[in-house]
Amino acid sequence: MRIVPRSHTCPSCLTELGRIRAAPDPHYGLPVVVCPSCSLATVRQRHPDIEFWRSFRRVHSAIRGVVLRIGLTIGGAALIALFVMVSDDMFTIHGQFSPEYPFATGDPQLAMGALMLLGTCMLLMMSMVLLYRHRSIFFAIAIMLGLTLFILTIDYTFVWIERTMAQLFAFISDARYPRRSEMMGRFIRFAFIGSCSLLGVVPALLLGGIVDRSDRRRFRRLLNKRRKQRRIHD
Amino acid sequence: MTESNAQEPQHFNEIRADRACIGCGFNLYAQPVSKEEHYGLAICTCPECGTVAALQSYPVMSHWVNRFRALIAAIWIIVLLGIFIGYTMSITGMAQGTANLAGEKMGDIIGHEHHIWSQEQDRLRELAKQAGQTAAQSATPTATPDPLSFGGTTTIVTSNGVTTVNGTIVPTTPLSPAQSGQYNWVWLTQGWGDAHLQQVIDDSGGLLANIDREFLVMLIPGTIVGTLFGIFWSIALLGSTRRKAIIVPLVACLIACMLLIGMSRPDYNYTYVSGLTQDLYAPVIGPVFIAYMFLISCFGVWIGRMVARRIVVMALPARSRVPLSNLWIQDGLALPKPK
Repeated sequence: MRIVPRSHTCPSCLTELGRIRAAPDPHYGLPVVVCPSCSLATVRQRHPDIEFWRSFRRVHSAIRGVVLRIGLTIGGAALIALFVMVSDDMFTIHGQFSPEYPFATGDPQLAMGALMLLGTCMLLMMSMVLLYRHRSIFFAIAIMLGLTLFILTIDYTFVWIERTMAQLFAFISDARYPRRSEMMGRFIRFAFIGSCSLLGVVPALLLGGIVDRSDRRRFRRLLNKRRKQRRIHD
Repeated sequence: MTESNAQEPQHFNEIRADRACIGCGFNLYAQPVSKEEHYGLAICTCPECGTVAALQSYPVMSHWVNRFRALIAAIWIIVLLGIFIGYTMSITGMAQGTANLAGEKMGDIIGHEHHIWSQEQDRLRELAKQAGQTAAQSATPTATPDPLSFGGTTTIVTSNGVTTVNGTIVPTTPLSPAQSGQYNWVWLTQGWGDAHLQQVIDDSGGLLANIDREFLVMLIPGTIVGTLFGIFWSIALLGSTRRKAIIVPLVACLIACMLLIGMSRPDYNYTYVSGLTQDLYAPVIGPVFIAYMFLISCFGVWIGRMVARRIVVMALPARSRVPLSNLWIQDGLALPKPK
């Protein structure tokens, strides 16, 4: 790959100084270039136009990273919670979930749907572990399952808050708790789907190594490119 | 000229803009610019760390950078204004909802009284009609098609809801206000409010004595919305201190209060009781709820930057956090080191 240095023109005689190496001067350590034509010393600095876009891009990519990660975390947890809520009749006929016979309906379409659901949950958990691999696997699992559990119990939580307030301030609350059997069903399905989604940690660990190696390779490539650029440019 | 004078750089100006030292970040504003003796370059020495900064720089070649800066700033201000309007409207809306809930008990009382009054009016109208009609004509015209007969008793319910048993009008017993809640949707007759409303309110003990405490339920969404908006303002107004950022929720709450009181003009005619009591309670409960929203927003502003820092540390690896270092710098903190 041919690397073209950025232009640097002598302000006095307009000689192109781009290919002259800017050695750090012995007095101040500034990247000084002495013009070979007129002997004028100039300091090589980045152009403010480039600096603006560079800083803009950095901030933009950092904010995008935060928004994407948080959005994916909340979206993934909401999706798993949705799966738990809608899967009451997916595993068994009358919503009577039995972990021994998770696909007791015998309906191949429903069984396929259930497998796809579990596969999606595994994929989501895998993405979470990959996204938060700079922290730890346990952090990713805890945040994913904790958020899912919070979404699953949000109706119960709000009813509890309202009824507590009603007791405290003596007013009649018309909020009703979800049925006990409904909550139990939710928790059992969450336990089953959650534990199945944990299988996504295994491919995440394998992929994490590959991604990290790829990151390191990319960083090395970039470093080499910059060094080469600096050799020509400075 | 002595040796020491020869070494002394020549001062010819001073920096008149913000310029951070590349060594320690100290603002070099008002520092003297000197011409150093080796190359004749314009330099400035940082008084804090002694690092020399070259002041020669490229001129900006294109105007597009400044144009983009202005465009981005304009878009940002428009977005902030839009969110400010949304914030104000959400406070106003929730305060109205609170007033609506607070007025349910009084609504039942007013609706109940209006119901009794309207039944009395119907009874009087029916009696007047019966007095003017013959005995043969009086039984059928406004009766239900199928009168109920049981054991020699004939019950007729007229279209006005008046019940007659064997030709005698029986006053129906309305539901008590405490057990119903349905009176909130009674349509008030024209003229009744002007004549009777104040008396009904006074007889029941006044507005404050009949507040339905269910309005406290609105504190739950109020807390969530207020905290989230507070956090947003704390981060969006990163350039100012948190104390100054509190001004935005304060202004929004004042506008919301004015809007609420301005919109709440009780109309006694052609309205549901629910609408009437909402307007009656808005100036009483609304400002209290808005004050609560302000306090909660202040709490959000106070914790906002801390929450943002936690989220950034949680979500981003150490090297990606650097562009968002302002979240730490603004509060005089150092960027957390990677573990």
